[in-house]
Parts: sequence; structure tokens; C-alpha cells
Amino acid sequence: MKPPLFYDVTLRDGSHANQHGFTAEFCSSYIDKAYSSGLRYLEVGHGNGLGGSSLHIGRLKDPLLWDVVAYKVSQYQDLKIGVHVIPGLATFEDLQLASEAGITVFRIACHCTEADTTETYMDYVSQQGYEIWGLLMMAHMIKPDQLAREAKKMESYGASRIVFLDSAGALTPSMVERITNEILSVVDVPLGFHAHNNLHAAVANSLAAVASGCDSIDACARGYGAGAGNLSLEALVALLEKDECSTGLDLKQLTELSGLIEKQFPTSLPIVDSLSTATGYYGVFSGFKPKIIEAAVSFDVDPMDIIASLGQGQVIAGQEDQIIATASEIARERRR
Amino acid sequence: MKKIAILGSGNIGCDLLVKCQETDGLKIVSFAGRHANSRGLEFALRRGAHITDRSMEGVLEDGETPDILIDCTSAAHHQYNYDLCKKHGIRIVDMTPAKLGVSCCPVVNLEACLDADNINMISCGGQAAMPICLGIKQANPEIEYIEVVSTISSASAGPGTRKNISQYITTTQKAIRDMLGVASVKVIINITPAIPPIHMKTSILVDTEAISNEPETRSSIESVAARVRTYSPGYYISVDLRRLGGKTICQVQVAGSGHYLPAYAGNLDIINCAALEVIKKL
Repeated sequence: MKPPLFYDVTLRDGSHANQHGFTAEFCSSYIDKAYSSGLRYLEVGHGNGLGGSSLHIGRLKDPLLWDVVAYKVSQYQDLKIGVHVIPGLATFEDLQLASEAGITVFRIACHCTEADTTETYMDYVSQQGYEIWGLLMMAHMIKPDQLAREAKKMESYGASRIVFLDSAGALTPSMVERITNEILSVVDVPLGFHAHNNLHAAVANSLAAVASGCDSIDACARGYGAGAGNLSLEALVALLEKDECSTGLDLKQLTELSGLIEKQFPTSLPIVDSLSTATGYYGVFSGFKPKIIEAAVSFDVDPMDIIASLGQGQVIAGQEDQIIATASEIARERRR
Repeated sequence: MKKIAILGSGNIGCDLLVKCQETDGLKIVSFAGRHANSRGLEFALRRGAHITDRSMEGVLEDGETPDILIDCTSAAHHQYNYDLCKKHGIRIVDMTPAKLGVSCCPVVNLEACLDADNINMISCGGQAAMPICLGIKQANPEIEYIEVVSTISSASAGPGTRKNISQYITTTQKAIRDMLGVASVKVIINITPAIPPIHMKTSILVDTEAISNEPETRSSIESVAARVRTYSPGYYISVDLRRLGGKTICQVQVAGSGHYLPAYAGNLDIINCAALEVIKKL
């Protein structure tokens, strides 16, 4: 098996776990350690990416993160730092600021059915010559052939790589394999996969992705990401190494990287609990978890009822306000 | 009779065609697109409008010269259309987020816009959010930050909407900031493919500490919303002002009137109802 390219999203997806509270200082030491482990692609920022800092989703605590990016890319010539960009949250102005800070990888993301919302953003970035990846979020919500059509659109807008995201941790290994085959049958650019662990399947799904042809994998040290967490970077590397697939990464240092997270964020380490299982089963965005708990307490309703209703209503990432509206609706129904 | 031309044959244009035709005192003199076989032009033809597939040139050369042109194209095309309208003394109501003219939300500044040669209708999210923002601002004049999150259905988001997302955000932010005097405004938009398509939802969020009197704020919001319902009947508060820790939220939904697209397209309806309200007064 050919080893995949590892794209480390800890400092972005992990923002969901600590309520967007990474400090510039922590990011700086994390990047140093990650670089010496052999990682060359890292993502930084608010959990929902550029423009995500808001009352709606959560405010970014330390606005100095950009200074770290600028410093680290000048320190490490072959390090690439990327950002997550959702049109609707981010504006062209945000893209401009990111590029001035030294960002060279723009991962333009959208809900999996809405690829055409990424076209103007990809245009904007490609004029400046940066690396553009096209990301399809909540990939469990549509059939593989529909997903492939959206991937094809992103390719036509200039994406040099497509990544499909199991944002709710709702996919199974066989689904991942079908999606990979379907997308690779229509696009010429390489494909990547981004797992969440709601149903304990992040490792199995990522292995299936690599085995069926994905050549990049998104991962987090200690699986530190939204909800039940992401794929544990060090776990997949260990498994691949055991199978004599040489990743080129230093496993010992990766476990230390994971230890860095454990030491710094002991109270927000992701676990797979009953709520995660429910979000995975109903296909509800992983990052919603803290807000589901908050709304359940505020309206005195069962979080499981909120999750079931969000799943049924096909609520997508970005609709955090709908968690409150749903809890309010359940409370209102109960009074009737 | 006011002579009206509609430029742009997408969802917005088609819905406005129906609304104008059903309003006394308005006469549609042309309905312009740029693709001869577009669904919009066929729709307009079936409704008895004079159509042209030569965009702005068609409006100026093929039909009766309008008093008012409603520009339903896109931000990128608006400057060109505006220049031509100026030359021919045609007033323009701009449905794109180009923000070249004076921004208008009927409950905030209708009277003040009536002399302008270019009236910009901001955006669907702007028309949905501005009344609630006004209600909040009236009860809490010192407020410095407001956030607006709109979710619209995929089915109601045409290609123009999808190409104009960044402009939509900056235009809506600027309009709320300038028109209500709020120092900082953040706008977010989601497009959801959920089936059946949802009604447009718009949430307004503020810092809890910025709300000095909750009951007063609630009644201020309700009174502005009642004024919106006089021109956009499907406008209703779906989550009453609610405090959740450091943030306070209020959500409105807009059910469309079903003139061109079904009721889920409240986003189309609210901006078009607002534009119609302006056109009636011009």
C-alpha cells in the first residue's frame, strides 16, 4: 500500500473541542513539534474556518494566530499552512487577509450538494496562484454518484485535489470505498478523506479510504477535533507502519504530539459517548455537540430528541441556530 | 401608469413579474434576459409580457422606454446597466448586491430613498434581518455588535445568488451598519438542500450584556415585525428573543407568497415585496 499524504487539521478541527480557544503560543509549539515529526501540511484556525468566529458558532479567543502562521512559514520553507474556507462564512476579504499571513493552501469547502457556491472563491484564490483543494462536507447525506458530480464541478473550477468529509462520522468502510471509487471514476485530480469518530469508525474508514485509492488523509493528534473527534493521526500511522507501509513520519514524535494535546486540554479530549453515537447514527454534524447540550439544558429537553429531530430535518453544518429553534419547538410541542 | 422593465430572467425577475402584474398602476413594458430559450423568458411570454433576449440593449431598443428598471442580474453587471439607465433618465431599483445606489429597507428608510436614481434593495437576508435589528436597536441604542445568520433552501438559490455570496455578505453587513448605526455587523449565509425545502430562516444574535431590557426589546421587535407584515405577509417570529448564556438570539422565518416559486422561497419574497413597496411609492 502506498502511504497517504497526512494533512494535520488539529489546530483547526480541534478548535471545536476547546471552543476555539487555541492560543498563539500553543499553536507555535504544536507546529514546531509537528514539523519535526515530519508533517508538512497543517491547518490552523477557527473550527469552521475563515470567518467562523461569531456568537453563532463561537468566537476565536486568540486573534494572534495569524502572526504565528506568518512566522512559522518563514521559519520552515517547506511547511504549508492551510485554511478551511466556507463561502457564506468567509468573504474575499478573509481570503486576502489569509494570503497576506502566509497561507498557501486554501481548502474551499461547502455542503456536499452545493459545489457551485465555491466557484467564485476558487477563482479568487487561483488568480493568486495558491494551492486549492475542494472539500465536500457532510458526504453521508447524498449518494456516491451525486457526490462525484459535485466533485467534478470543483475540479472544473480549479481544485487540484478533492476531499470528502464524513463530518458527522456517519459513514461505514464500505460506503467510503464506494464513494472513493465513484469520485475517482470521474475526476482526474487526487482524492482525500476526512473522518470523524462518532461511531468509532474513523480508523476503519480511513484505512478503507487509503485501500481504495484516496491518497491524502486528514487527521488530528489524539483525534483532537469536533464532537467525538477525528481520526487519530498517530493511530493510523502506527497501523500503516505495522503493515510495512512506510509513512515517513516519526511515530515516537507523533505520540509526543498527542501527549502535548493531552497535557494542554485534559478536560476536552474527545470521547465516543451516547450523544456521539446518536449524532453518528442520525448523521448530525459533529461540531454541534456542545450546542446541543447547551440548548437541551436551556429548554429542559432531552438532547437525544434534539439530535433525532435535527437528523430528520437534514440540518447541515452552519445551522447552529437551528439547534436552538429545534429545542424551542420540542419544548413548545410538549406544552401543547 | 408607471412603466416598468425587468432585467434578468431568473427567479427574482420572474417572481417580480407576477407581483408587478398583480399591482394596480404598474405596467410591464419589457422583460429582458440573455438566452432566447430560458425558462424565465418562456414564463414571461406565457404571462403576456413583451420579452427580449438582448438584456439592457433589448430594453432600450426593442420596447417602450420604462420609467423604472428593476435590475435582477448580478453585482458584476449592475454598473453597466446603471450607466445606461442614467443616460436615458431611467430610475433603477437594484436587486443585486452591487451597493452603488442608496440602500433601502422599507421599515427603516423608505421615504428617504424616494428621490434617489438608484435604490439598492440590499439582499434577502438584509430585508429579513434589518427589521429585527431595528427593533433591537430602538430598545438598546448603545448596541455595538449584531450578527445575522440566514439559511435559505438550495431550491431557491439560483446561479446569481451562488456567484454573489461574498458580495452578499459585505453588502448586507454594510447596510445594517450604516442604516442603523451599529459599529460592527457580521453576516453569515447557509444554503441547505433539505427536502422538503425549508422556509427562509434568519437568526439575529447579540451579546446578552447588550440587552438592557428584555421585555421592552421583545415588544420593540414585535412592533417592527408587524409593520413588515403589511408588505410581506409571510414574515413571522419563529424563536422569541431568547437568552443562552452570553448570547441572545431571535429567529424569524419568511414564508413566500408562492407567486413564482413555492412558499419555501421566502428569501425571494421578502426582497421582492420590499422592492414592490418602493416601486409603488416612486
